[in-house]
Amino acid sequence: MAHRPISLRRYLLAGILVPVGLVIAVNAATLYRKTLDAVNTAYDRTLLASAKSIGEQLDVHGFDEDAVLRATVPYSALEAFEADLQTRMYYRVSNLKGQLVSGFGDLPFWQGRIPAQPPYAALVNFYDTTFRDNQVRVAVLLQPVAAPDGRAMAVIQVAETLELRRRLTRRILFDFLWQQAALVAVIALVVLVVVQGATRPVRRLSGQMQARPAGDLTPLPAAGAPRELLPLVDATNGVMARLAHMLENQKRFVRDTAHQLRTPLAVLKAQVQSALRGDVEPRQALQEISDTVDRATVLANQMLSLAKVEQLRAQSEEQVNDLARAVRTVALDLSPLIADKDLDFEIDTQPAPVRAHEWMLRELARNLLHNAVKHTPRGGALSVRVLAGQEGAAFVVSDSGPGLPQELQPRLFQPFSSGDVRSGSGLGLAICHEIVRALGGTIELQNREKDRRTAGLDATVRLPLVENRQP
Amino acid sequence: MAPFMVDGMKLLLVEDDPSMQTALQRTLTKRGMEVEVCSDGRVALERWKKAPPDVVMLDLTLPGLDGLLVLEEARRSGLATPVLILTARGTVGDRVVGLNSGADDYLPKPFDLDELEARLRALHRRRAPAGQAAAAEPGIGGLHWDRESGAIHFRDEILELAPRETALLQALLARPGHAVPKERLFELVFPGESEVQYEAIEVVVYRLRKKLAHTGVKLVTLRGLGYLLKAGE
Repeated sequence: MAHRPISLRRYLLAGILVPVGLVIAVNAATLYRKTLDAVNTAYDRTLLASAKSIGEQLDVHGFDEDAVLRATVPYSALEAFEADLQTRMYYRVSNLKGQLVSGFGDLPFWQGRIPAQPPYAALVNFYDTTFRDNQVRVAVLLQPVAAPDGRAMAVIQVAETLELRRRLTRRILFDFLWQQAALVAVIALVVLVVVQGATRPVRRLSGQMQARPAGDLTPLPAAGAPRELLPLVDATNGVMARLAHMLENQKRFVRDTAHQLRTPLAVLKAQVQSALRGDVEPRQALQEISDTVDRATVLANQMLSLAKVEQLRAQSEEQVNDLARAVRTVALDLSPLIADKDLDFEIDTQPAPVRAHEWMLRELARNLLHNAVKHTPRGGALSVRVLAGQEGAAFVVSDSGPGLPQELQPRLFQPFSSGDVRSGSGLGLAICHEIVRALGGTIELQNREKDRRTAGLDATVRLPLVENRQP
Repeated sequence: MAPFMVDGMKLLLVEDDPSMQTALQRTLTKRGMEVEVCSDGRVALERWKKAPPDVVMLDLTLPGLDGLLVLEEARRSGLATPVLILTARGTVGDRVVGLNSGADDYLPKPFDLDELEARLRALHRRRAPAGQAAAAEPGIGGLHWDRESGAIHFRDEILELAPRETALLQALLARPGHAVPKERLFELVFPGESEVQYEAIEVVVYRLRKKLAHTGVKLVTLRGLGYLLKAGE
């Protein structure tokens, strides 16, 4: 099941437009509600004003319980407040007990709270209700009425139908929506253009890479790339440089290998032809030929080993293996050779866990140990040590052979350029070097001096230890 | 012709390189074996089923059917003939794959002819019924371990050895010429005892060395590693 990749552009667009859209929507809703409240307040004030104007036309005789209210409200009084032909207004004047004094009797008396002790200040309230199949807004005014011969509280209710408010509301709403839509459209356009511009370098870079011919590993141009893309460009260039280097190494290796195999083959040809011509005793000729074949076999195996080191290095194995155990295994394998030469042998090891493939450790140990055994004279001393300390693991092979001649020292680890060619160990040290390099360690070969003479060779390999006891 | 070699061992050689065929057939026939040669995997499988040989030598890169597939097919059909794989593919991984597919032994090319012959005979011995005389019993330089009686002989003489010395010598004779690690020797000579120091082995070695002094076989100490038996010159 293929996982669809994230689109940067879509992410940017969605990431910007959705929150902006939401904010605008919330903003618009809030603003709209506030505007409605303001509209209502304004209309309510007008309604109240009409109630008050009615209140001024009231008259009263008598006091408190005996008070009788009288109203002379011409209908035209309300006309001034009718804003347009569609709004209708109704009024009702009552006393505190609800008895109709003037106005539309079928406008229901206000059911709200009437204070027990009527205050002598005006009391105002607004409410919504239905009257004669219309929805109306009603203003209630508790108006104290005073006259020289009387005093009472009148309840004045004025109702108006809602068309006007509604129309205004609708108009405001539509205006809002158009404005917000226009705003969102402009923002969307700007964002689109900017996002398109921002992602152009990415598209251009990928275009450049796709247009490359296969096998082109030249670095990408960093000029013109935005700062955020520079790490990617650098990393890609780094990868390509390493690839190019690796390919170069492989080509060189194959070339060198082919050349190197020619040498024993050439020797073979010479030996065979010489034998055919009768220059040498057949038995001796065949023995020489056999030796050459052995040499070529060793070379072929060594080249395979080198290739294997490369392959393992690319795999970056995470296994942890004990260097001491690998060394001991190799020592056991080589024990017949050691005994055959009557060597004075000693091995001393400590557990040394390192992060390395088992094969690499064994191959390293085998090459060094085999070399040492070969170069140590009959009965000579050979010691092997594996230590684990603060600076890591150390693997030391000390032989009592002739040591290394001065002139070979600098090119020691380069394949095919040094070493004891006759015994075919030309690649042995190169293999050790490659293995040690792949494991992040060091290898050193030094002559051991004693009494101003070379007493032997010390081969020291240092590898990083795996710490597994740290908390 | 080596007179003390076993005669008549039937071999099936499955190998596609003509030069290799000729060379192997020639030399193995000279050493007293019957060699049938086949260069195609499928054909080889049929011949194998029809007339099972004593040992099969199998090259892996074959036309027709890949060597490993031939092997798997043979094992599936119930053919239990010992198989020695000969191949240029010599990595440890290849070895494991080969052995897991049902091979009994694995020899990478180029190989030594003596080693080839030794391994063929070893494979044949493993499957041979008890009646057939085994050509080689564990031994080195005149020392010889009779597995049935448990006694160790030097030529015709039976060596007089203490039980621990016998255990040590048997362990060393099991791998003649090759070192046996001291930990392993310790287990075999002092079984079940965990408190005894490794130095106790040294005492047994010292005594054994004296008893072997006249045989010419040397008990070699590789300090820190183990011990081995080496035939005298």
